[in-house]
Amino acid sequence: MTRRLTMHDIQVAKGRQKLVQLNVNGPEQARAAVVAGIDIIVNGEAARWPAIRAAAPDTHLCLSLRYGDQASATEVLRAAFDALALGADSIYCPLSPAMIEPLAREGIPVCAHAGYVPQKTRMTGLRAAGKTAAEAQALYRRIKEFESAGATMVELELVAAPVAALLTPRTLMTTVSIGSGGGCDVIYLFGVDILNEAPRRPRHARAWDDFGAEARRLHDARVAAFSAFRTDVATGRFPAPAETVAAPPGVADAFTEWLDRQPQD
Amino acid sequence: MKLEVHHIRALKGVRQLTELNVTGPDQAHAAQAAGIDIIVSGRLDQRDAIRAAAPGTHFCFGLIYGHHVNTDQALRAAFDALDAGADSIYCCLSPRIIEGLAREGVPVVGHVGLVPQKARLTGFRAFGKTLEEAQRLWREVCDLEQAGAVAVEMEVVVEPVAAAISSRTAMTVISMGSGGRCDVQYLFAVDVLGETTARMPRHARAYADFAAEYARLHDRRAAAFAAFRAAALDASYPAAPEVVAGNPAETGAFRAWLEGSRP
Repeated sequence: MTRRLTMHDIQVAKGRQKLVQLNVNGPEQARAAVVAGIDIIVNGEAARWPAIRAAAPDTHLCLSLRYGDQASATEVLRAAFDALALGADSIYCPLSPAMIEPLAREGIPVCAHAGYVPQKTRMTGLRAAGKTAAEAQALYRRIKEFESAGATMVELELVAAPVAALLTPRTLMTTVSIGSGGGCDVIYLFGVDILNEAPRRPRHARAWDDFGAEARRLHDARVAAFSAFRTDVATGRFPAPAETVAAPPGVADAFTEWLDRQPQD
Repeated sequence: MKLEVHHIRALKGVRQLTELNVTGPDQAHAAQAAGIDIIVSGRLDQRDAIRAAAPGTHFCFGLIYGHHVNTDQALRAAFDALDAGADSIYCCLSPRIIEGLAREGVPVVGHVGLVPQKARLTGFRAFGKTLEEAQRLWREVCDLEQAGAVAVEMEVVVEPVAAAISSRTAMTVISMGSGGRCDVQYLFAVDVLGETTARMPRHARAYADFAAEYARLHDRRAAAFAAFRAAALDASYPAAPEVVAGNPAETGAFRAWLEGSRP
């Protein structure tokens, strides 16, 4: 990809071309996402944003506001502008339409979150959404509220696939499916799940590799290297002459003689 | 058994200790498993994770040069690190500031020879090649000892000078590129693992090739992400077990409602 997608490009792709989105945990995954041609990358750890932006300069980067970090529209807008200044192309915000509207009003591309929202499980419980007609209708109304507030994307999480597929063509927003089937505009997974790095993988996620085994192997290789260093020190094999600085002739003797003449405490 | 400062002092002249500068919990965990005596890090964002990953290893937390501009600030940061579980504090500031920490019972490690943070002043070079410079090093070491430092990192000092000083000071002398006749051998874990694709210091030794490992992992990450992308685009992901099917009757009712509500 030569030019990173803008929110405008993402909206134009709706109904025409499916996009692929990845939550990355750091610059390593971001760099690999670039090579893999992933369209959108997401991250919510502010400390890593500069490194992630630098690792994927040509990929659409959605930076996530952490639920609980902002408690007013002013704080949300401040945080969103700060994220844009760090190079974000869009902002994910799990808050209500009332909090999202001020962002959209100031021209910030916002992705909202509906269905199962992990940050709100105290309220909803950990379960799929949209299994009854009544819940599907509530979801439809919720989505329309986000649309009215000016959000341009909405993450649909663990929504019954036929319901997500019915909602998608009925909203102007780009729908992002995480566990909500293949009928949305964007398919979204976490890098740690694809690589099987997390302790537990959600049912909707698929692993294409096993980095858990790699992590154990690298740990063993680290232990072996550190043990070899320790053994070499214990047996006098480290440092070797090539790894030390020799003194010019005479300096060591002159210094030792001078030291021996110093008064003892 | 975790070495405390008094153990480390008692081991002076008894056996060489090993010390690694670690970047995070993965290296800290491996250092403990390898029986490394001391780990060091100055990364505040990793401090708690490192402590948790190596609870049985002496952890020296480093105060970053430039973060503290007087004794009060250095002492505040040192106490915070001790509260977080650090066993000692590295501080490359002057004996005047180190004295303020030592006076309150903080075990402090000073730094002489090549102090990279002060290379603007000194240049990047080996120290102690002339008698005059060796004498200056000795005085600096005495000043740190007088200030109450319990150990001193001696970096890129000519080997016989470092050895002569080490045998004459009560402080534990930590050799970073200063030869094998000090009390502790200290390297950066990234160098030991061969992680640095950039230039390796002359005094360091690589015992593994993690640069190659990381390149390989990058290729596998990219392949896994590309497989996800291909599967999403050809609709082989998500498959039936990866979606919530919902209830056909309820979905039908929702569809009817949608179509009724939208003329």
